[in-house]
Amino acid sequence: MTAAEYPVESFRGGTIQQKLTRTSVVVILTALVLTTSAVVPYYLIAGRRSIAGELNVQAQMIALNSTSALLFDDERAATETLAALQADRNVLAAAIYTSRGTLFASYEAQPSSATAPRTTIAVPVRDAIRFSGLLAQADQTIIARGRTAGYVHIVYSLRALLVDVVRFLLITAAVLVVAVFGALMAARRVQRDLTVPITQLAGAALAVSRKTDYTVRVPPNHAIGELGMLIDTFNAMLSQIQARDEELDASARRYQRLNEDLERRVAERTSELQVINKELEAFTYSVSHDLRAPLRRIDGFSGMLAEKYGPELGTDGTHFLARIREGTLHMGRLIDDLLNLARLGRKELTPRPTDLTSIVTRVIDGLGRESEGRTIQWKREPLPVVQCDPALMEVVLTNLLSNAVKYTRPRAEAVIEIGVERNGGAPTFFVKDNGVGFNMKYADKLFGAFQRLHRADEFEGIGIGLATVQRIIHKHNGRIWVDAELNRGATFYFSIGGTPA
Amino acid sequence: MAGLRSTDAATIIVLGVLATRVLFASQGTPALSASDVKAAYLYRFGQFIEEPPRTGALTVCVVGDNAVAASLEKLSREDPATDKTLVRRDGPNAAGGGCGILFVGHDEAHAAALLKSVGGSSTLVVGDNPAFLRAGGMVAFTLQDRKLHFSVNLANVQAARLKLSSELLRHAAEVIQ
Repeated sequence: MTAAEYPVESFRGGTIQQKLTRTSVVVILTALVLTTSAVVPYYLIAGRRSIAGELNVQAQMIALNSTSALLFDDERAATETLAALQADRNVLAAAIYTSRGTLFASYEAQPSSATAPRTTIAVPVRDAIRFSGLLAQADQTIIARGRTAGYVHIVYSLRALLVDVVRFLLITAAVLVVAVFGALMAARRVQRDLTVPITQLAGAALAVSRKTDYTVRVPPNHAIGELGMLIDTFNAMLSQIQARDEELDASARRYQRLNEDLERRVAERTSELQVINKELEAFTYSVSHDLRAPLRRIDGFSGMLAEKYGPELGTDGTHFLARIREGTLHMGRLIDDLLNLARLGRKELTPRPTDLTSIVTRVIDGLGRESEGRTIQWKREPLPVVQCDPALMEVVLTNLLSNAVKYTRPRAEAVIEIGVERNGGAPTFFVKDNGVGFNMKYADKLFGAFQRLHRADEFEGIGIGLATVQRIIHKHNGRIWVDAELNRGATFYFSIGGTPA
Repeated sequence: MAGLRSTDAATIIVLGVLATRVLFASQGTPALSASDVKAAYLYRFGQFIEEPPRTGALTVCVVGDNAVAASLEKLSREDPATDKTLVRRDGPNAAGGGCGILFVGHDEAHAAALLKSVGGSSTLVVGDNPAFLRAGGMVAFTLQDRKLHFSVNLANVQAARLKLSSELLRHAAEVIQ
């Protein structure tokens, strides 16, 4: 990439070379014009002064040499005197007049009507040198013994002076041509020494800014002073940037590799866990299932024993048998719950719009046996219809409400509140009771399977209900948490990922 | 001789008219005679004598031409210069002493005697006829092309230990070595 790809029109005032050339030419022109405008008038003035001096001398010489000719009326001698003027090519004509103003002798370089002397002049004539146009004219009085003997008149051509000025102008023009040529050569040299490196520099800068290519380098040049230094600095800067860039790239690659590794490991672990979970569930299911047959047999035979041999067993025997039957019943429930929990892992969700209010009503009705003989105040508010699995949601509410009924048993009047909070996002449902509550430092154990905060002889249960609830909520992409205080009741909150249907 | 003189006289009149425009223009004298022209020449010769050097006023002595003498006297009167030329009329037999210039007019019979009388006194002797130069005269008026000129016999001038300015000799019609 070169600066040529950059639109040159966008350089205000042109490229450096153009500017240099223009500046040189302007300087040369200015210098020559100033010189010429100073020299030409000076030359003209000096030339005129010199001509005036020369003419004065000539006129006085002629006057001196023609005095006696006038005194002795010697026209021939006067003419000879004047003829000496032919040595000066600039003298066009000359004449000697008598003191009365009549022509006495004359000289013409090239006889013509233009230069022919007048035959009479008006006397007296003042001594002077007059310039007019291309002519200078000298008048000189001829004095002999204090008296005016006559007058000298010389016509002098300024053509030579003009020719000199023209020659000077021609030389100036020639100098101008040579100087401009020299300036162009110098500009070309500058182009080589200066513009080329600058163009390379500009091109490199452009490559860096447009392609972010930090590998470009400007050829070093130490013959161009500060510019060479600039190039070196620029190259050094590029090297630094390039090194940093490569470092960044390397670390980015390193992080990417690390990330990919992590993801891969997470995926591996996840699939391992899934496999283990499946195996565990299968194991739990099969164990629970297999435990039912012997249990049913124990229950069946102990029932038959009570029926057939009840009276023979006596009070103690009947009591022991009753305890055996209670144990089998409890174990059956345990197995059922375990089976349910295990089934949950396999079951696919079948979500649909579900009216939670009717589910709550149904669950409360189903709790009739457990709440028998109790004073329970149900505080309910209408719940929305949400997208969820209705069967599983019934399991959730059954567990939460039956827990509430169970742990409010010590209260003379139990208060159980079922409601919903809407804080912008998905609705948060809660079940609040005024039961025995628990210490919040055990809250993390609450949702673990077979974890219990109360003794079984206080509150019956096997510690699997909240584990099941949490599992269902998680399957719905929801969240469950609890807020409680010992002897002050507990509030269970849950949300489900689905939006209100 | 008389015939020659009458011719001269006629010519001089013409010459006088011609000379008018040159010689006396500044003096505003409208009519110039041949005598006036000769007087003017005589009057100016004094300016061109280089040796002996002038000490005081120059005396021009005239023998035998009262008209020229009169013209000279008039010139001398009108000359504003301080060292003006003096004019003296001399008789034919008693002439020469103290003259810077001696003009021998019509009476040339005495020329030889006059020349003899000024011999050795550095007097410029001027005659009215070219033949005078061969008789020992130094300068003589002559008429050429109807114009008054003068000729010089340089040998006679040098013999009298005189030196004339080359400027004067330049205007001479003839210079006899």
